[in-house]
Amino acid sequence: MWHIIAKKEIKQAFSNRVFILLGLIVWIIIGVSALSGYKNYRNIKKQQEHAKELFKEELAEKERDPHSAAHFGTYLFKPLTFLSLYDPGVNDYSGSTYRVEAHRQSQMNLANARDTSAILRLGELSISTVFQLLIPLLLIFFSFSSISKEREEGTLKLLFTQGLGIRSLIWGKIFGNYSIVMLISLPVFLIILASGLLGTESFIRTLLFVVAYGFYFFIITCICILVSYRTKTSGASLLSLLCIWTLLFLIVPKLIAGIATTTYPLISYNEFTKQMELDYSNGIENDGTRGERTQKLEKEILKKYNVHTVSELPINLDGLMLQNSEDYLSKVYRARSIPVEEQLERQKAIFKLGAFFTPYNAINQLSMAISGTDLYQHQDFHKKAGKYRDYFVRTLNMELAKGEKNEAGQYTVSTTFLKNMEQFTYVQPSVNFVFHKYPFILLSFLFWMVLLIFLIELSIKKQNIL
Amino acid sequence: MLKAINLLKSYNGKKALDNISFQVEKGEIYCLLGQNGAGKTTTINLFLGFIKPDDGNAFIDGEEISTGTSSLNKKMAYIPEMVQLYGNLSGMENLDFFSRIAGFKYPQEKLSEFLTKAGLQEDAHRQQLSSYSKGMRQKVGIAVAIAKNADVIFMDEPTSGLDPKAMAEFTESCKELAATGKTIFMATHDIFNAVNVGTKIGIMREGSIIHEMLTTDIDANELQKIYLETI
Repeated sequence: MWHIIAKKEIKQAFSNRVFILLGLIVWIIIGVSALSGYKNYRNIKKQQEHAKELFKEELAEKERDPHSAAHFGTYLFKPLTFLSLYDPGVNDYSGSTYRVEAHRQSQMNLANARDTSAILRLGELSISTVFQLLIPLLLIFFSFSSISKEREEGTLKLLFTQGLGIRSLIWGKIFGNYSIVMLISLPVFLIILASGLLGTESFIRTLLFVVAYGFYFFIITCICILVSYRTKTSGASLLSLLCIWTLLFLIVPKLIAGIATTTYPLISYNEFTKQMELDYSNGIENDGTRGERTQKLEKEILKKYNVHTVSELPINLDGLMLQNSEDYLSKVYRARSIPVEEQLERQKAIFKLGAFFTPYNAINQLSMAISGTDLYQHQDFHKKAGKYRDYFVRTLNMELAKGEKNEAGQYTVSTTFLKNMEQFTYVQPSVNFVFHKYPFILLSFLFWMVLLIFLIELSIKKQNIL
Repeated sequence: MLKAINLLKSYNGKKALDNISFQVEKGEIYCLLGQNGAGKTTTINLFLGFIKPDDGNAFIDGEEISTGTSSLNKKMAYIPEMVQLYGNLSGMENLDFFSRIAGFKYPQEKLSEFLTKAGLQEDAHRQQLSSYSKGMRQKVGIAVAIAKNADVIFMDEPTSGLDPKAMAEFTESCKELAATGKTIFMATHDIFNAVNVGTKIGIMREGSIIHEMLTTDIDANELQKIYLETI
C-alpha cells in the first residue's frame, strides 16, 4: 500500500506551486554552480595543457648547462578528473601544480596543510555543495509537513480508517519524498553517468558517485519523515528539522574540524621550511653538518677512483656533489614529512569518525574520494610528482657529472637529450583506493541506515497515531 | 450492527467514558448529542480502533473491536468534522486515492458515479479540492464512504459549519445511505438535525449516556428541552 502513498506524494508535489518554485530555485543554483564549475574546469585544463607544452618546449629549445636545466625545471600538473567538476574537493585549496626545480622540494601539500583542514569544513559553491547542503534543506521544506499536516488536518484518521497501516504510511512518505528529490537530481545524475559511459570518467566512479548521493538523500529523507511523524504540528516539525539541519550540517562538521585541528595541530609552512633548512645544514641521524658531509663524500669519491686530487678525477665532481645534496634534501624532506603526514592521518581519523555523528561528514569525504579530489589522492599525486622530480634532477646532475663540455668549454646537455627526457604521466589510483581508504565512511552509511530504520520501527510501535 | 457494553475510558484519572452501553441496528442512524468534552469523539475513536477501552467491550457486526482485525476496517468508514482531504488534487483524484487505500480500484466512470451519488455536481468532479466549499468537501467524504461500501459510517460533527442548503443535502444523503442498509453513527451538537436525520438519539454528559430515545417518539422542541435539562 506504501506505493499508493508514494505516488500521491509525487503527484501532490508536482501540482504544488511552492514546490515547483523551490525546485526551480535549486535548479538555478545547480545551473550556476555547474556553469562556473565547468568554466573553471575547462580553464584549468586548458592552462595545464598549454603550460605543459610550453615548459617542455622552452626547456628543450636550446642547449643548456645541466644544472641550469635542473634549475629551469618544469611544472607537473595533477590531471583534473571529470568528477572534479562536480566536487573540486581540496583542489581549489592545494592547487594542482607541482614545481620541479633543483635544490627545492615542492611543499604544495604541506604549505597548505593548515588550509586543508578548513577545506574539510565547507567548500566553494559547487554541485557537491548544493547536493550536500541545499538539497537536504529543500527536502526539509517540502517534507516537513508530510505527516504532521495529515495529523493536523484530520486526513491521518481518515487514512487509517480506510485501512492504511502506520508502517505503510511512513515508508510510503519516505519513498514518495525520496523519489521527488531523486527526480530533481536526475538530470545531474544522468550527465554524470553518461560521462562514465562515454569514457570521460571511470564508469564505476560515476556510478559510485550517484549511488553515494542516492544513499545520502535517502538518509536525509528518513530523518525528515521521522521528525514529521514524531511531531504534533507542522510548525514544530519545521523548527525541529531546521535545528537538526543547523546542527548536523553546520555545527557538528565545524566542531569535528575544530577538534581535529586543535587535538592534532599542524606546523606552519614557515616553521616546516625552517626545520628543513636546519636539518639540512646540521644533518640528521648523526650524518654530520653539511660541510662534514661534503668532505666525507669527496674523500669517498677520490678513494673510489683511486686518485688524490679532484683535478685527477675522470668525472665532474660538482655533478655528484649536487646529486648528493639533492639526495640529502629528499632524505630530510621525507623525515620531516612523516610527522606531518601522521598528524594529517590523525586528523583524517577524526573526520572519518565524524561520519558517524553527521551524514554530512560521510558524504563530504566519500564524494571527494570518488571524485579523486580528496587529500589522500592529492598526497598520492604529490608523492608521484616528488619521485619524478628526483628522477629529473638526478638525470641532469648525472649528465653534469659526466663532464661533457661544448665548444665554448661549458658543461652542456643537448636539446635532443632534454626533449627525450621521460615525461611525467600521473595515473589516478583505481577506485579500490576509495574502498581501501574509506571503509569507515562506507560503514557509517550503513550505520545511519540501520539507526534510522530502527528509530522508525521504534516510533511505529510507540507513537500514538493520533 | 453496533454494540457497546459498559465502555470505560479515563485520561489522567478523568473519566471520558463512564460505563456506557448502547446498540445500533442495521439501517439505523444513531445521533449522539452532547456538549464539547461529553465523550462523543472518544466513543467514535474507540469504535475506529484509535484508542482502547479501559474496560468494557465494543462490537461491530458481532466482532469485537479490540481484536483490531483488518476485516473490521473494511466494515467501517469515517467522515470527520472537517473533511480536508488534499487541496491540490481534484475530487475525483481524492476519491480514487482513498479508494485505492481501502483496496478498491475503480474506473473513472465509477468514481464519477460515486461523487454524483454523494450529491456533488459533475462539473466539480475534476476541479481541485481547494476550490470546494465545506459542503462539497463533505460530499467527497460521503463518496469515499460509499466507494468503500462500508457497513457502518462514523460521522464526527459532520454538519458543523454547513449552510442550510448543504445541510439539507447532507441529511438527504445520510437517509439514502441508511435506506440501503448502512448504519450511521453520528456525533453532533445540532439538535434539529439530529431529530431530522436520526432514527435514535443518545444524550451524553460527562462520559455517560443520560437519555436515549427514538426520534419517532419526540419532536425537536421536546428534544431541546430534555437536552438543555440534561447538560
